[in-house]
Amino acid sequence: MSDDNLRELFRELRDEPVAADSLARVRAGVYRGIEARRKRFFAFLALATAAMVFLAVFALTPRQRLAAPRPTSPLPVTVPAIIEQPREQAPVRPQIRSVARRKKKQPEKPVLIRIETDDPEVVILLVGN
Amino acid sequence: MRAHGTRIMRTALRILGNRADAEDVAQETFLRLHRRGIQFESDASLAAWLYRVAVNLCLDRTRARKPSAELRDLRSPGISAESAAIRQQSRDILLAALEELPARERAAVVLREIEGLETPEVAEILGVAEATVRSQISKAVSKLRARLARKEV
Repeated sequence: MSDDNLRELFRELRDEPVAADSLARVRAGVYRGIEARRKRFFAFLALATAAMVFLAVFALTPRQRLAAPRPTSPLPVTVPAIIEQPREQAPVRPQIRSVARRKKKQPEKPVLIRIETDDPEVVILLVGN
Repeated sequence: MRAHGTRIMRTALRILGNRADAEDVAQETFLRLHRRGIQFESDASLAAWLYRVAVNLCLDRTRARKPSAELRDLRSPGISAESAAIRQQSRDILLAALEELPARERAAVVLREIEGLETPEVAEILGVAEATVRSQISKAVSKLRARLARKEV
């Protein structure tokens, strides 16, 4: 077979049309793939949005809202008395003073002056410090 | 896709020799184009990119398995019976011979001889030097000619 014949055969192969059903299948497959990718993208977007909303609602809300609700019953709330436990303290060594003790001042006795008058029933008493 | 679909499909079919695999490769090629979202300066650069992706996908597949004997799939349905009989015999021999070539040589022949690309384009698509492409094509054509001569005898 000559080179020309070979080239002719190659050219014929180039000119041969591709089966239309093959091309249609490829096209349909591509569109399916694009659609599936789009769906995955929107699903991801929805998940991301939901996560953002969740964070916004639960993480950024003030803590008071999250606190336990107050009891609505009219009964008085009894709060148990808090008993303070005596704290254990480390033993303190008594300080030993070498200074001599001061003498305590004795309270002075009030001065009592008794003045007797001529009348035996009248006595004048003067009290002073 | 309409503009390049036929060429990509034909190339994949000539390299792989299996219609189902060729459809898969063509589909994956266009999906990759969509995924990348690449903007091409010209139609020629888009075609080169598509060829490169398709040929690489084909070569990956041929590494994984041996090509089937389905290379004769791509037949023209519109050719008349008499002339088609003669042409088809030669074509079948050529396709069978093409199937026996190593995958890289087959890819080079398909791109250069069947798709009609220039040697530098083929070299760029295959990621090899132009000299390598020329050498591969030369070897491949020699093998094809020898095979066809043997069959004709």
